[in-house]
Amino acid sequence: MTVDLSGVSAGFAEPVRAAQRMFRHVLDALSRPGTVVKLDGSVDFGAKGAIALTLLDYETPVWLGDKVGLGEQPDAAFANWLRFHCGCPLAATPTQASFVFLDATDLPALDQFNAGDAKYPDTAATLVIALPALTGGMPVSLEGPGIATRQTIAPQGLTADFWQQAAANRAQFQLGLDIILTANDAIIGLPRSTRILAEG
Amino acid sequence: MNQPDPLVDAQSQPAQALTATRQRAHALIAKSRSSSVQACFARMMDLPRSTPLRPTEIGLIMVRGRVGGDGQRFNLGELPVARAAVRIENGPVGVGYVAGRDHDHAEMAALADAMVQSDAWREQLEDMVLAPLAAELAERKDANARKAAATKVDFFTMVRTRAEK
Repeated sequence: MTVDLSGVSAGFAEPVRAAQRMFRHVLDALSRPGTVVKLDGSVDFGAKGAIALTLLDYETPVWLGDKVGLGEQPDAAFANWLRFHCGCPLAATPTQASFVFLDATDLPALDQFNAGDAKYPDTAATLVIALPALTGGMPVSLEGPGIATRQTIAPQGLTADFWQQAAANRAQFQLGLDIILTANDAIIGLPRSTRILAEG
Repeated sequence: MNQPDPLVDAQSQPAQALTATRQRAHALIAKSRSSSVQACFARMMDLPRSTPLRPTEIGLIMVRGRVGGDGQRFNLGELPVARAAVRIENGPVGVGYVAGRDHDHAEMAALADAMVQSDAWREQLEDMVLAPLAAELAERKDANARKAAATKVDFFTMVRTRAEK
């Protein structure tokens, strides 16, 4: 597969240091679920670009969303950029992907992604969902490891249906997807261990 | 299996010509010594400003060989390769791969690849860099051939004896 380089922009200026810092941020976000973690330093495609540069390589198949339902992955600019900088393959089906980058506007059913198996729950996919904003949406309460009592978040653009699916994702623990919500240059981690409660 | 490659077929005539030009530039710079390439670039009055797309890096590639046309492929050994990717200001992206661990060599190869794709720089690069490198390579090849020719053993006596019978 040829990669069209004409639209590809630069990645991290200092790959090792920037990726280490980013890794720390992602770790913080996933170990303190529900906290908004600000990222420093910016690359193209914002938080999802930075996460991709940090976590992806040639062993991590990526799924970029499926608008038409025919297995055709749309976001060509992002796909080219990923293929150049991370060298990661694009997964042929959602099940094969170990990382999934989606927009909140076209969220598919979460159960089509790989939730790991009983022997190797660590092979489950990580979802990175881009939202318009991490505040000002429908409030949701979180409980679980990494949260002292209860944490309330209100990310914009997620439907009640998504939260039901996320709660179902928790129900199959230790299997399940890890979710990172992004907006501009901030992220919220929702690991599979977090219990999601409706506000009230 | 024999499906035509849509990418190759979709290439127009000028695109194919550009591919050939790029391949020639890649080959010339990769085969030349880093110091010769540097000397050629140093003679150029000005160079386009370029920014790296990703940092220049060194890796290993596995060189595979086979004996004869129908032999089994085997791993011959690993070869260190330096690669670079740069973008000329508001222009095309060039990539460079050269054998060895010389960052500068790879960066010059990438810059040349970008310049070959840019209408503003192509001719200057050809005159100042590619043509001299081609001449130097031809000279080196010729010198090697002459050295080798000097060691040639001529079995003319045997040939003549056979021919006369």
